[in-house]
Amino acid sequence: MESALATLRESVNHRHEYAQAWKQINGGKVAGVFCIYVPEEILHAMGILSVRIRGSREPEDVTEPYITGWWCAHCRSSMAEVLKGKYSYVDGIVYAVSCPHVYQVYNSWSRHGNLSYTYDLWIPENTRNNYALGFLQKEFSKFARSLEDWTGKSLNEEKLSQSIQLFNLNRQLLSQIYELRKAAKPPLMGSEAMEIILAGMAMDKGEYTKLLQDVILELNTRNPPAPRARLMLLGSENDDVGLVKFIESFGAVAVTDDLCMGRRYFAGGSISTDGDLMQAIATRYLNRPHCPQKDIVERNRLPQIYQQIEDYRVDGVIYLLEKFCEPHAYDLPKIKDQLDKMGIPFLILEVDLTTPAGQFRTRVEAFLDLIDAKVVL
Amino acid sequence: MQREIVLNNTKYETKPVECWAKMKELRRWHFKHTWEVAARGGTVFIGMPEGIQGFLAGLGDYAYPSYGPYFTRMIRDSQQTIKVLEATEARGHTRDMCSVMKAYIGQLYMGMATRAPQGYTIKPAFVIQTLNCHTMAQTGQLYSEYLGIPYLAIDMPHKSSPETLEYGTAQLLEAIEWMEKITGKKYDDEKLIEGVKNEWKSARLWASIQIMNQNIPAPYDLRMTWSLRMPLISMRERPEVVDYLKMLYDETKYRVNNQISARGMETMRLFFEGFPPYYYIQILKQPQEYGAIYIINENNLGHGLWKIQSDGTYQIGETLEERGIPIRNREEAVRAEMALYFDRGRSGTWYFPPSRHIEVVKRAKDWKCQAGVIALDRGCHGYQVSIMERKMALQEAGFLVGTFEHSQADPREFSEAQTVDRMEAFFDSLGLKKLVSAGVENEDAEE
Ligand code: SF4
Ligand code: SF4
Repeated sequence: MESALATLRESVNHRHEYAQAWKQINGGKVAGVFCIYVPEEILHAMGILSVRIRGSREPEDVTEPYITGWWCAHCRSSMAEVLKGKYSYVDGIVYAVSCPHVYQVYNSWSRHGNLSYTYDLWIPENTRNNYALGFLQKEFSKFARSLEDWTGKSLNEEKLSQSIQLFNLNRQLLSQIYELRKAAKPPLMGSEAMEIILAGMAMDKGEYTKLLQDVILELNTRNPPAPRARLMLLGSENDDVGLVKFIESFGAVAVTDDLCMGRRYFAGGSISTDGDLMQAIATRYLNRPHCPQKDIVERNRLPQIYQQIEDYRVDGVIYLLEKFCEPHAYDLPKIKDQLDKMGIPFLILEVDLTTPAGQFRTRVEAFLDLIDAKVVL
Repeated sequence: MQREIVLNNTKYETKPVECWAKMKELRRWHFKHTWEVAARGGTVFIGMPEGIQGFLAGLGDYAYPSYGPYFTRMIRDSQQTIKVLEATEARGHTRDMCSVMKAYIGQLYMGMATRAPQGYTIKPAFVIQTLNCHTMAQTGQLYSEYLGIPYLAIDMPHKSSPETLEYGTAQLLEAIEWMEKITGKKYDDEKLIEGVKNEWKSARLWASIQIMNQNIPAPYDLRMTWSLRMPLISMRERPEVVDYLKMLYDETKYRVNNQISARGMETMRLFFEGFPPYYYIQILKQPQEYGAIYIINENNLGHGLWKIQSDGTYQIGETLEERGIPIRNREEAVRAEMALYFDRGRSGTWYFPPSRHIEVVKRAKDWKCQAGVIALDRGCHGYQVSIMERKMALQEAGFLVGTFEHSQADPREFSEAQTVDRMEAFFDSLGLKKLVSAGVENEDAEE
């Protein structure tokens, strides 16, 4: 039992070995991608394995010559993995313009790494301007051409369409899993949901999609108790499964999230395979749930957060705020004000490479006590 | 590799810069202008539309006090600055956000951003922001929501290509109609054309002035050019600024031809990368105690028109005429404006170019620096990209590099005593000796 979920977990815990084995078996190239705005469908259609670049979240002392100490933990930790040679199997890297911190990792790796390919993809910041779609469509086409040059293969429409369909199915399955979390007794913990997403950022999409179908079957057989409290996690590139487990160890369950390594990765609907495929892909990436960096002018992130709070009957929100993460710091007061109006308790945990367990324990316990008291009242 | 440092103990003639008065007059005019325009019913808006100032000229009678008119005044008073920063933090923003923007946002929360010196408050027509710095982009959003005014956000890619040029042009053309709708006023194409031409001229003149600093002795040090550039930041599209820069260009030429130096000595020429702490701007004068000077800074050069070569050389950019860019109508003017955005130095398209570590070394060589300092700024996230790579590249090229940490608009993140000490130790390590008298001061430059 539980074999599919265990397989996913295994590939998260041994993601480097997974990619190396994939490379050996398939003989294809591996592209490290930064940010969820890299159109992975195109990489997939070219036979490239895309792996999300992230760190190990262990204390490190190797990045200082490259990155200042006040860069976010996600970036420092990612760079540490690069410097320690953990990503030596990566052949090329792709950056999709997001925040400057990530760019630093891309920039340093490009300069010092042994890579045969680097690509810096411009994704509009004001995603709602009338020219963004046409522009991004061209950017994606240019990106595809550069991949053709790199791999020596040509991008075939048929294959791209198949990849899009696979990714669509994949997103549907992830949405189904998130739907299950709406239940009064959610069949999976927030930490497991995060593992599922992280597996998708490391594995071959075909294999991953098959496993997701099995995961859903497995989850349907579970009968967990009702949680002490239903939480929503907000934040940026938080991939710290251990931290989520820690939060949930007090009896609460994270039932949904707005995280890069969470709902933001897959939500936002399917890509049409009718008509111009690059345009269809660009449409999805412009209309997906945005991170604050790209949620300029007419916001779509905040209304979606508030809607999720209702849909998932969330009792409290925990903001996993990466220290030094400016894009998310900007939105904090606005979110807090709205949650206050909605009567939703809100806790900020400022996260860095190390977790101050004692302090977090006290704060999470107090937070859950507050929610308990509210529920009783 | 380490370079052999030969001190230059020659004494040069020096004298105050005659254009200071003009620069200060322009700055005073800019401050007053916002309230005058508001009083007579012109268009006042808010934001930092970096790189498209010429485009704004089509609004006719207009003014924009950035994200608030009192930044320079406030930053001189650390206690006041701290109050404003705390006002931002009290609303729930974190300490590690850009300190400059926090210093503006605090003024917004305190009602200062839109308050005239006479005490009344104005309501700007809209916020306009170019999205070259994501921090400013989110500041614009915050202002727009807080003040309840529309937000015009222009997406600015960092790479120059036919597609990005068209993308920017299309957005600006649409923005004209948007502004007409919001303000109910006709946009003036003649003024747009004049504004864009002026902006090109300003940028070209600034590059021509800065390149003269490659001479030994240098006509100015960084402390001087840091102030001399101020009118370019706030109103480069205005004819008065073009006239000012022409005067400054002539004066610079005169100083070069007559070997008039910035400070009377330049025992050593130093680069200064990064932003200085604005509340302790005198740090730019510290080398003077040793007869040395800071010469160059990426951001300061960035207001000029450059053609940056693949080996990192800053070559003065061609004029509109030399480039064969016609400006006869709205569309051509707007396209020329975008072309200028891409051709400015690293101040518009700044933090993403991967070649900054190459450029920094070439600049240090071309401006004949022997060593220098990098300010590691916890405040600005964008500008810090590649700062350590730049440091490494300079060291690999044999330059000695000193560093200090600060946050450009947050005095709480700076220790004057420690920094001065640290810099002294660095200057000592360069073989510099403190002078009894550090030459003629240009106290007037303290802006
Ligand atoms: S958005 Fe925040 S968490 Fe993500 S890379 Fe940037 S600073 Fe780090
Ligand atoms: S460029 Fe740097 S200092 Fe200026 S607003 Fe942006 S982040 Fe702040």
